[in-house]
Amino acid sequence: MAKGTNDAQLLVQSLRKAYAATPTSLKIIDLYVVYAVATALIQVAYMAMVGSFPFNSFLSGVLSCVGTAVLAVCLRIQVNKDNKEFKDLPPERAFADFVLCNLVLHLVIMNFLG
Amino acid sequence: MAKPLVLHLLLLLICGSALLSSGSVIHPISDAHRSAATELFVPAADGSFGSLEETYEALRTFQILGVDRSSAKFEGTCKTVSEKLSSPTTTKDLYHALKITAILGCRTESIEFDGITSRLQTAVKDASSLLELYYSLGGLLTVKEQGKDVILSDADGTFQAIKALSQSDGRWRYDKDSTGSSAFAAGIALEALASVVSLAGSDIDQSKIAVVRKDITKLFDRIKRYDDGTLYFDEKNVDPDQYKGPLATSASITSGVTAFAAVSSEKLNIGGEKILGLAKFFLSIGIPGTAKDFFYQINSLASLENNRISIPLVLSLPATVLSLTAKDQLKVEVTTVFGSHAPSLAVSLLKVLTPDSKEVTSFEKKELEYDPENRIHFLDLSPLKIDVGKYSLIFKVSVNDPEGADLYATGDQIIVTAFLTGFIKVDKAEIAVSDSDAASESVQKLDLSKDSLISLSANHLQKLRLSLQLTTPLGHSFKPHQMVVKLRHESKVEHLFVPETSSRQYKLVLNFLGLVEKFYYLSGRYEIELAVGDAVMENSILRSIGSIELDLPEAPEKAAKPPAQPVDPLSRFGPKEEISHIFRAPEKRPPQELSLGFMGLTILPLLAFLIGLLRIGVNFKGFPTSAVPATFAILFHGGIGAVLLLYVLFWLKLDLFTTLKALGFLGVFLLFVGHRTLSYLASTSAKQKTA
Repeated sequence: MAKGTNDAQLLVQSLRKAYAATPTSLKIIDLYVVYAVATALIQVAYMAMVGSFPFNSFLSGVLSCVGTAVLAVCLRIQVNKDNKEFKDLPPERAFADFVLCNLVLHLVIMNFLG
Repeated sequence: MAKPLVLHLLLLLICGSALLSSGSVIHPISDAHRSAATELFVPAADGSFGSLEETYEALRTFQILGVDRSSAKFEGTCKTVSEKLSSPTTTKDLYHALKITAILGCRTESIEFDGITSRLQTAVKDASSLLELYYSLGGLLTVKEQGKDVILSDADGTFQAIKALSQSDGRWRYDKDSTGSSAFAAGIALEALASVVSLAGSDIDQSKIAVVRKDITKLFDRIKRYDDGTLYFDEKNVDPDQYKGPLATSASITSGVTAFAAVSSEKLNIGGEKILGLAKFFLSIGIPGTAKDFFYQINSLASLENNRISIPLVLSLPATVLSLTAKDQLKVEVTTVFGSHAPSLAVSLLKVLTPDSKEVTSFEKKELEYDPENRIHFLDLSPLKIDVGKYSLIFKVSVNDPEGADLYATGDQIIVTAFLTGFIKVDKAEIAVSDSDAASESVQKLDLSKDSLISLSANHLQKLRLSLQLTTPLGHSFKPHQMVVKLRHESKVEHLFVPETSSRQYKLVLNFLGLVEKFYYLSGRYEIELAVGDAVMENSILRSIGSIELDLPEAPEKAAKPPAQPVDPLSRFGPKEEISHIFRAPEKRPPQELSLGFMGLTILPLLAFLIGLLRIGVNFKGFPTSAVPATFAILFHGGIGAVLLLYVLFWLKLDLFTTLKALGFLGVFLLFVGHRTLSYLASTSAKQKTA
């Protein structure tokens, strides 16, 4: 048992160390994803409490968070220098795509919000 | 050819029925006609009534009826007319203009009569149609009547020209080339011939005039008659556009014949009866509805009033409903067609006929007395002992002066319908309820003069009997047009019964046993109403006598239901039932504090994100420093911010279309700026990599 916790602690520590090596830009994106998901969870918890009356509003809110998180993940994949697939894609281009898709997503969300 | 014929027959039928419907009641021209004339002929502001012809017709009607023509409006008419006379116009216009001048008594100093006379004389010589001759000759005659000297150059030739257009049946053609002839044209031709004779003086050969007299006799053979002695002229085989109608045709012939009779030295061979018939025709129209008809009627009656053949006298009754109770006298007026007084006459009532044409035998021929003050012949009815009813009175009028008898046309027998009304007595009115075996009866006397109501009661095994007698003022038994007894239930279901008559009595027996089904088994109170009515009954009865409580057995299951009573038709406009709307209950919303709390909770991750960014060590080192790229970078961020702001506005108040429009502009701007910024960043990072 002590070994188990020890093993877990060692695992967490090694993960931490490895994570510290990631570039700052990727960390920013990760933080953004965490923020979006947290907001979504809070909305779900609210709905669980008060019922889903304006269902379209609930969906709109949750899906905006989830959508932007997904787009951020895509951006992370494309910007990561270690990713061989997107070697030739300039990060600025990826970022432009991210901004454009977010704007379209938010237009649709605002329309559906009601 | 069949089609025009059918059209004529149809028109004839319509005209005939219209004339027939006016009935045989005729009255001489009275003030009613004068006021109708002023209403019908309404002059325009300049004093004209439309065309020159219409103006002439209106003024001539006013002249005959004695309506005032001195109003200032007609000054203007005189001026217009004299202008017409000086300018070149058709002969028809000249004719009408001259006539108007004569009627209004316009000043004639400014009118060049010589020029007009020569124009008319040329027209007479060159005339090719009947109407041209008529208008030009009429114009010349009017000029002569104004006092000017007028010579007709070839009177014989003109006479011959007109005569040449006549047909063997007494009708005339309009000109040499037309094939159809008409009686209307005959009237015009006769008037034209009369004008020739007046203008020529003694130059015309008398034998020619005699030939025309024969033509007139032939023309009068075509006269049509109604049963009551009214005579008129009408055409059958004429073109539809030439068809003038009975009034116009009769008017034309009347004017023509009377004009010719005035110039013919020997008397025309037309009986006074025909003149009287024509007079009756014109009077039976009553008050015509159109201006043209009015002119025809009045003009013809004026020609008949003073004609040389015989003057028609008209008998009329000022009142045709005479009351025995009020001791009305039978009053009769005999006047000329215009209501002027006739010579000394004797009017006698020959016969009195009942509606089924049987003579009232108790009546003997009586002569009416004369009241010189009111110019009325009257007769007292009470000593005659005629009972109430509708009668046809047959009069005969004879002129007292034997010489004058030829001069006036009074007709043979004159038939007038009159009503004698009176008070009908109701005797022996009884109502009784008896048992079916007629053993016992409870009789109640009804007194219909008082307002009392009786009340009875009966059951379905009994009978109801109602009987009464009706007597006329002279004591005879009376049979009214209508006698109905109505039983009305409380629920407004009604039943009607007609009493039977036997010898002198009216009796109604209702056997309730047989009527149970008819009454729909409804028991309860029935109101009894009696209605007795007749045209000659002055005291018709329509009143409730009383009520009867009927006890009928229960309705079996299969019995007919009483009919639904009519609902008050106006009730559907009254207030309706109130509708209570059920609205969808609003959804339960969470308390506001909870919602606001969670909104705050949603902001928390944003704060955590910002703090985390600081912890990671976010910096703005990559932000471009030199001026132009920096501006673009700022604009880029500004653009994104503007789009997000647009979205907020969209949620708050904009609609999708405005948003998309604005988004289009912002998007294009953002693309351009973003491209510049990002390409600059890309180039700097590439430089860094290579460097």
